[in-house]
Amino acid sequence: MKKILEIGLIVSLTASLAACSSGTKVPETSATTTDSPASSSAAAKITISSIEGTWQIPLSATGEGLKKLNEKFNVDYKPQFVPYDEYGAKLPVVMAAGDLTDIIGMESADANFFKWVKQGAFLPLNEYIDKYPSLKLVPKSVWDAVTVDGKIYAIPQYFPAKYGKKPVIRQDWLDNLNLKMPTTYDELKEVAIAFTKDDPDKNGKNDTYGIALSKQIVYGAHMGAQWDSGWYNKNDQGQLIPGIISEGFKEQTQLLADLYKEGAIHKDWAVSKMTDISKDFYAGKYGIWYEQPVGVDQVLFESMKEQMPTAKLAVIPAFKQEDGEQGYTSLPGYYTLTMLNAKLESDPDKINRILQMQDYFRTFIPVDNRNPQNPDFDWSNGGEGVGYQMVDGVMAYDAALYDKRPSSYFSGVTGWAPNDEANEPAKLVSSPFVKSFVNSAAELLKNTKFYINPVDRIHSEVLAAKESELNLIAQEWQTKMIVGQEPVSNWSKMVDEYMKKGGKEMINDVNKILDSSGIKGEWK
Amino acid sequence: MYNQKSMSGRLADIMNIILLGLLALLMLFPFYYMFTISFTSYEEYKLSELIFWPDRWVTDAYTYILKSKAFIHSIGVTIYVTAVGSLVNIILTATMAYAITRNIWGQKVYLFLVLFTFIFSAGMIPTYLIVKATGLINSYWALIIPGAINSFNLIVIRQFFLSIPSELNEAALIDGANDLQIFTRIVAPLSKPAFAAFGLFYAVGHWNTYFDAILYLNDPSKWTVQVILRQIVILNDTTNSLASAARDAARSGHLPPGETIGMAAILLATLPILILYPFLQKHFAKGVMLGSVKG
Amino acid sequence: MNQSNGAPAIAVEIPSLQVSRTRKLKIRLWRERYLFLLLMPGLLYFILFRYIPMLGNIIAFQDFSPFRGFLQSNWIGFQHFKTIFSDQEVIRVLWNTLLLSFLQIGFAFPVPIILAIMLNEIKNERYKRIVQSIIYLPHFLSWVVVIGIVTIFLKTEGIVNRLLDSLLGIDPISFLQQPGWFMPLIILEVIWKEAGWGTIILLAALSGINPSLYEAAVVDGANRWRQIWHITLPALRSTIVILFILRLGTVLDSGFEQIFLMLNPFTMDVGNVLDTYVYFKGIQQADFSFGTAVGLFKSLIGLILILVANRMAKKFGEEGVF
Repeated sequence: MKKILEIGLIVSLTASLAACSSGTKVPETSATTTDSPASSSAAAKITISSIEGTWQIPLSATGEGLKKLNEKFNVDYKPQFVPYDEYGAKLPVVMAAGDLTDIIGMESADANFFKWVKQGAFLPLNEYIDKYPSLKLVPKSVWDAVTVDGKIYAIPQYFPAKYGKKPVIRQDWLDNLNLKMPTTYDELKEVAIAFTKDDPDKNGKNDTYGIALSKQIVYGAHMGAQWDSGWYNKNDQGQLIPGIISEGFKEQTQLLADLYKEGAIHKDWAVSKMTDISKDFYAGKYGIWYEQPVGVDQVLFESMKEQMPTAKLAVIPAFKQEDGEQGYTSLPGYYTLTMLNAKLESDPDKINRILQMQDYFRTFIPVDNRNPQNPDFDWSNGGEGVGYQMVDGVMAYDAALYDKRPSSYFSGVTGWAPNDEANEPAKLVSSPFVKSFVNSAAELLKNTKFYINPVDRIHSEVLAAKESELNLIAQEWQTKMIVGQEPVSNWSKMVDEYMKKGGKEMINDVNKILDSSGIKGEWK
Repeated sequence: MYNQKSMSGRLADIMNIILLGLLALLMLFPFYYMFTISFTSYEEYKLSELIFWPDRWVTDAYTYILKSKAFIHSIGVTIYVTAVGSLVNIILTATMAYAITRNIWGQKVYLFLVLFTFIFSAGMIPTYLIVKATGLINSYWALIIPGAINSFNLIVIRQFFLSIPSELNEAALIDGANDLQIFTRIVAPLSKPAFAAFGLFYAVGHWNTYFDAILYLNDPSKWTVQVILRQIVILNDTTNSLASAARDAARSGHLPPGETIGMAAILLATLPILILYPFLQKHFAKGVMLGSVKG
Repeated sequence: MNQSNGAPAIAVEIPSLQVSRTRKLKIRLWRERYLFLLLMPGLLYFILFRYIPMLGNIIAFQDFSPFRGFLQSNWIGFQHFKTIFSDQEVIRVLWNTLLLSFLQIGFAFPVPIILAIMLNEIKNERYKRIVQSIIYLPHFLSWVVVIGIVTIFLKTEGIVNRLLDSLLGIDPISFLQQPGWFMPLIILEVIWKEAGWGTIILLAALSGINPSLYEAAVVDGANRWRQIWHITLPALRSTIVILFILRLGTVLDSGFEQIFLMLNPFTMDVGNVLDTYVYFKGIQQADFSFGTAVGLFKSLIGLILILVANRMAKKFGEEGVF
């Protein structure tokens, strides 16, 4: 579950970065505090090192932005950025070699995170949290995810819980074929097949597919909490089970298998990269794909509008479930973690300086204040005319100026918004086509219910150790089911294997912890 | 050389020539394909990926890449690492190989030490620790020193030295030359073709260095071209790695090209070593170098 | 060793009956001082960067924790090695590794030999040179690039499928997604990338053949095949044997990068080999001890195979590596 969400986030972040460079502003790092933290910490210059993963071309530890950062906080900050694809190998080696930096970034609280917590790599942060306003904003449900035996070992970084990737449909194709927005899986199937066979773009060619799918089934056809990979469904014993082995998930796997058979899914999906599929969607090849209201890739949107002036995108509302609920699973509310090296324990000055910097960049600037008149906004983006420009009231900057912006060196850190709506994503884009999509998506999600996955809030050793391996097993089965190498009717065989290889143990452990902590899944 | 006049012999010859020619074309085809695609517009490519000769030759893909400072910089870095690295490789390999060619005290032990590493090697972490302890982290030398000698190459070069007639050494000794002088004045000049060949072996290795750069170099501006290339080809992440170029593309209403950029990047990154290659190939075409693998 | 002593004639004449052994050694070392000068950089390198890190392999017998270090981590004896033999997955991975290796030896190993013989038969030097230059080329590409090309070529909408469709009317084949295609593709890739390059060593051995041998054979009326059989192949034999022995020593290596890049959910069952398994477990899941244990196990098998092969080679009258 977590893994799948992560991958989704990866894409959204990637997209948001591309959006930055393409001339607009996404929710960005900024602050409202007017008094510079530097004044309160003018004491000695402190050298601070960090290592973190990144989804873009990594920045060198030079550049004007870094210089400004060093001056303001009176530090010698030495950040190290590693592409995420390599980070999974580099961090363990660095860790094992005892060559750890002061600040360590990780993508999520995965098995390695808990292993290292147990080995004593990270500093417990409980006593510092109340000192920093932006840390106090973090809800308990999010702290829960990084707490082990009552100790908090990481600072979660903000990501809007509601604005993850949602299924998006070509409204103009629906209109062309006189179809309505699907509300059940049967209707979805009809629509997807019509998108494939009835020439929805009216170009006279048989060159479209109903639904886009990429390798690892990152996004399937998850039309609500009952059908996605979150822990929503229960088994016969009343235990909560992971979505990936649930009946709901089976239903959507069956749909994908049917669509594959009908040719409504591309034959190469299982070896296609998500970035490629995304590009193809915006080139008009697919009718249904996933998109989010924040940090969209405006380059892709604009090229779509250019080629298909009538194109219109809409989020598909969640389907009504058997239990009467209707809504999507919410994201955990954070993306990426920041840890401090346990060795800093004896150096409170350094700890505080690091947290001051974190606090500064974690302080939310209301969207309406994001202009050159706001000193914090102006400073963290490198200054108007230097690090950014205002175009149509929206900040725009060139990728070439990336190293002139102090915020670039804290790129994983975003202001902690009071609520998701406060991000006002539509105000951050300039192109009318993007704006209309973002507006309608945000409006729809505002009135959508979200399921809070309780498992995001607890720490189970067994889950940490087993989950990703088990997911791979299920994914292998499901991939084969979709392409027809394995009948979907063998679902129970998959569940058996999943249970035998540790799934049973994991479900028991998770449910035990849920029961004893009183944490439950809830709709919000 | 050996004149065979019979009909069947002629026929076999012709078959052989044709077959090899076809094989060579098969080997060459992907290069040709990459070349044409890299000059094809993305729109045309999207319409049909089966293009042997584009309707319109465009240099968009190259313009995109050459705009990326990171890519060009990484090529410079890689050229530097490859040149210095191969030189260090050859010097260290040849000197050691020569020393254990001669009846030096402990010769068998040294030879064993080398052969043993064919089979047993150290893990990633202990190696990282040594690189760290020797202060090489974040230095180009971290890409050069830890792999300074390839045991296999060392053994083959040693075999080559062994095949040099020993009379040459003896004559030099009588003239009063010491071992160092024998090596630099007699053995090394005779071994130029071998050095060229092994220099190329090593150079290819350096040129394709990828994971070591990620592991040992903390500063991205020191990364080699394969790291960048990987982002472009495997992740097909042109919007990120070449962000400003993608933005320009969007402004002009074109799709940011994916595969065509990948092809162009591969060709650009392979070009330097392809340029180097004919010069060195001349040497080992002579064939001298390894008449000796058999010892 | 067909090389004479480092310092002949002159040195031997020192009257040495009375000289103690240490003195003798000192004299010898002094005499060989320049050789040691040449040896030292390389020797230092081997000790520092190859042998000292090798000591780190002790973590194979530990439950290694980086925060305790190499000596303080818990010792658990052969537990990891027991896991290697009891874990179902490891056994499957081992089987994949061996199967792939033997397929490679069966199909990829002979290709450079055949190519070298074919090239050797070409009389037009220029044509030969051109062909050689071309078939060496793929070696210069990294695996990232090769797999990138393969993927683009073999997509269902890729050039290979389009050609199959237009020439033979065959429906698109999803090469990359069918487990059955995995090993053949790996082998074809290896052949494409390395076969040409592999001829270098063999051609060098062939260049040492005295042309008069062929001339004599012609006079004796030997046809082309007999010439290859009686002159060309024997000239290659010892090189082939050495290459074969060395290949056996690496029978559990599969070329990590290539396999890693080719794996996907369909091919995981047939394609996961020791190298990739160690990477997933040992590095990504940070189980360093287990990864190291598998590495040691691999080396041990390699050592045994190389010794056996060497012994066999000697039995059949070849020189072997040692």
